[in-house]
Amino acid sequence: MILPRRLRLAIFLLTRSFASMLGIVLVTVILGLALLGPVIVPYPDHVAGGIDLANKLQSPSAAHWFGTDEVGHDILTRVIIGARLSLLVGIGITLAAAAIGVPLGILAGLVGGPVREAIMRLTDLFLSVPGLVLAIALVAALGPGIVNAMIALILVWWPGYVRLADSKALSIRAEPYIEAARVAGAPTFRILWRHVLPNSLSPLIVKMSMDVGQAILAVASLGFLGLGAKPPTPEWGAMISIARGYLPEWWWYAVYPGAFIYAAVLGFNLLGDGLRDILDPRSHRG
Amino acid sequence: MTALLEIEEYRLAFDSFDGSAAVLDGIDLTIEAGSTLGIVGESGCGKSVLARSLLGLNPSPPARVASGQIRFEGRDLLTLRPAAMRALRGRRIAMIFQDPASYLNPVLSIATQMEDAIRGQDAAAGGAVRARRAARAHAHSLLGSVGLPDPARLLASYPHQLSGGMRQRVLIAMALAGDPTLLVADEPTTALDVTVQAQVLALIAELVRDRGLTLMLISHDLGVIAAACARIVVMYAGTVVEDAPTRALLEHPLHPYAQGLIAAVPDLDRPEITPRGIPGSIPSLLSPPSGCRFHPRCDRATARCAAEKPLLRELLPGRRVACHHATP
Amino acid sequence: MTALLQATGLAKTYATRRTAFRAASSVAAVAGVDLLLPEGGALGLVGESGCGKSTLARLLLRLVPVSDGRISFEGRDITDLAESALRPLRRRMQLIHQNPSAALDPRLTVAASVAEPLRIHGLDLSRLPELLAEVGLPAEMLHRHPHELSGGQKQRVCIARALALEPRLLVLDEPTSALDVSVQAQVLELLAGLRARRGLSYLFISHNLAVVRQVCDRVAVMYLGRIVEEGASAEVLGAPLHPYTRALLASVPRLGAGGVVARGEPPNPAAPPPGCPFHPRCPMAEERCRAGTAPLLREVARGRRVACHLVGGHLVG
Repeated sequence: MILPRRLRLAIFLLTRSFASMLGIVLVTVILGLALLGPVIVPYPDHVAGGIDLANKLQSPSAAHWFGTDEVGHDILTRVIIGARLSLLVGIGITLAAAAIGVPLGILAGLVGGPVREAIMRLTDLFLSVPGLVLAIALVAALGPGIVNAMIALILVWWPGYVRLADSKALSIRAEPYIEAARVAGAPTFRILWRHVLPNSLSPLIVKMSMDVGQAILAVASLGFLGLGAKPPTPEWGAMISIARGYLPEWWWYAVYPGAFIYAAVLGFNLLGDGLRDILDPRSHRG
Repeated sequence: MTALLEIEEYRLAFDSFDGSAAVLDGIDLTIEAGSTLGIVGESGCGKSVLARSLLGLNPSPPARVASGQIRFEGRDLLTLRPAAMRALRGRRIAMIFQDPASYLNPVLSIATQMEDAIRGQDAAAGGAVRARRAARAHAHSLLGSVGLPDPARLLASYPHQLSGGMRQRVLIAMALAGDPTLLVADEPTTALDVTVQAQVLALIAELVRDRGLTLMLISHDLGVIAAACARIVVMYAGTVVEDAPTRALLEHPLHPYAQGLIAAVPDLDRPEITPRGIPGSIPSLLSPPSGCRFHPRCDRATARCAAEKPLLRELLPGRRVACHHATP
Repeated sequence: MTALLQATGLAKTYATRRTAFRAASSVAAVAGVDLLLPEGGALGLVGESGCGKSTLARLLLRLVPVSDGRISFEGRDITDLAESALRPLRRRMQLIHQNPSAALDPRLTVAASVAEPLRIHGLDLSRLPELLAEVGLPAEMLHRHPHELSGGQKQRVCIARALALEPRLLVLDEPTSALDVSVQAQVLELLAGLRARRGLSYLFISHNLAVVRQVCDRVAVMYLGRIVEEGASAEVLGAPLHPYTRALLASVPRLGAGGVVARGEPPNPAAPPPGCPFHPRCPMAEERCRAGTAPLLREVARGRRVACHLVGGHLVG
């Protein structure tokens, strides 16, 4: 079968780079674990509830590859189920933030004038407060919990998309093909939807890929601080938060969730880098 | 006259994802010391790549020398070590480019950039590097020699304060810093307005005359080449198709492509003659046409043209042409 | 002949905002231009970079806001029309850009690009192959993307897109400067054929005087936002009157002998010289050229206008 040139080139660019391949492998593994989680975990009833104090704080073994926690739950099981939650939350935050930020940014860049001024100043207002601090304050106001943590992080995240989409739209607005569309009589909305948005997508997709990793990290941070998912929900950050009390003797309790956070963030960042290589028009001549 | 530069059977390929493009396909040409040679051709004919080859400026990869020699003053430039090439750049061979704005650093003053160039040439020469003050004095005189008024004020300014023509003059002055023998000018006036173009061409002609420079001028504009060069090489799709004295080429081109190129230029003084385009477009060098690379667009092409690559042969004294059907 | 497009005292001033480091100032990109393009005519607009010829074209198409003056198209004043009222008129006034690679959305196929104006105006899409044929492209090109086409082919696609709306006016902004000379001649042939067949009017912007002489029956020479000479192209380019037109013509490299060299460079539009804007470069400048206001564009002979103190009506009789 002959693949289209674009696809062959994309595969070539990805496979050429070890880092991109590593990113793809990590993301695929985590996605796979998240999708298959409930089917493949060795102790499905350990996900929530079900205390097995006889087996508490067992070191890694054939029965419990990652050991067990302070109530005897299998850590492997909880880490895999945690991947579902983290991915869902990471992707959800990113998509929601992009859904708010991108239209605003493109509108700002394309229309300009007072509209842009208003949107950008509002964005500045949000960007001038450190993200996690703002999220902590929001969660404190809304009350802890995974949903509130997501809402807080979405509110922190969207301004980044406004900035990126605005700068992209500003540069695309100057392209002659936008003027050509105006000359053809295209209304602003059509120009925005048909020309500006599709041509701005590449850097946005790259940013979104990297942001999924960052959002996973942020949710884990909130969980660690006790502001996100509450135990016994198998959330990586919340797990580490409890595991901290068992360090260094019962090291596996903290190390395995930590390693998964690390792998997820690294995977999405490397994937983002790889996507940048593919989507950058300058690499098309390759 | 002795040959300053001899290019023999030079083949250069650009390797890419889509395959290997034969960008230069057996270039043969010689430049006599003190002569002026123009290389004309359309986009993708390889004229700029050829010029950059002289200074080792084609990044490798993707560029790959497949065969050939470029002998400058008897030494093969293609086998020169990087250090030896650096010593040659600017001191023996200098180059000026199409877009003067992008060859000056916007955050440094003209004085700083010229001093750096002059001191860099001193270092490359292996002798003593002169002090900034002495370098500035030299920069002052160089700017004067390229016809720039008030060099002192100019030295204190930044590139954005200069017009396009002034920037190109500054770059020419910098190119002269190493007192080169060969000046390679790659589309030096293409980004300039027509009145300024005429001034820069006049300056180049004056420098060639007064300093005894050898000039290799690359342009897509036959008019520019004709104004500055005694001899013209016409390139097409990585090959030299014709090599002739300027007047002879313009009045009586022998290669069908050279004929087509001249017929395509609208003549301001003879508007009654409608310019004629050459049908088709420039071929992809990833899969160039067999035989003569021009044959798919040539109205005289025969089966032989598709099968056999025509050699560049001396058809008349001092005139070479690569066409099976060319007659004197 | 009726006027298809007419400009009176048209001006565009760009104001630079006051910042902490710089006082507010203004740049007159176009400074009071009177222009008339008759139905079926081809008017060339020539001049060096920064002379305001591209800005003037965009003003005439109402793509940039007008600072002063009036524009009328098909006898109707369009200066103050809202964008929505302008939209139906846009069908009859189209623009061709200099760089066809940038004028086509890289993500759209040829078919999608050419169909876009038809879709916007709710017209029949079945004419696509016919439009492509009219600009000399085979129908199989419809499914290609811009990066698969040569420069000449891309410019033909842009021309097809402009023709889709059956325009009466085509504004061509350096339509062949990004093309190779052998391809330029092909495109010029195409444009000449289209004009004859469809009765189009051209406003043809170019820095290439030889091309303008081929294409246009009238030519206006611009310098620093003003028209300095205007007339039949054979007369203006064959026997120029304004010193700037002469300098421009003399600078063109000829295949024959070398030209004369004009001195100086175009001045900065933000700080134009007093008096005649060309006087610092003019070999004939006198005292009266150096002070006061710029000389007005006056009719010095039938159909010939020149803005120069030194060119009197008596010179051409």
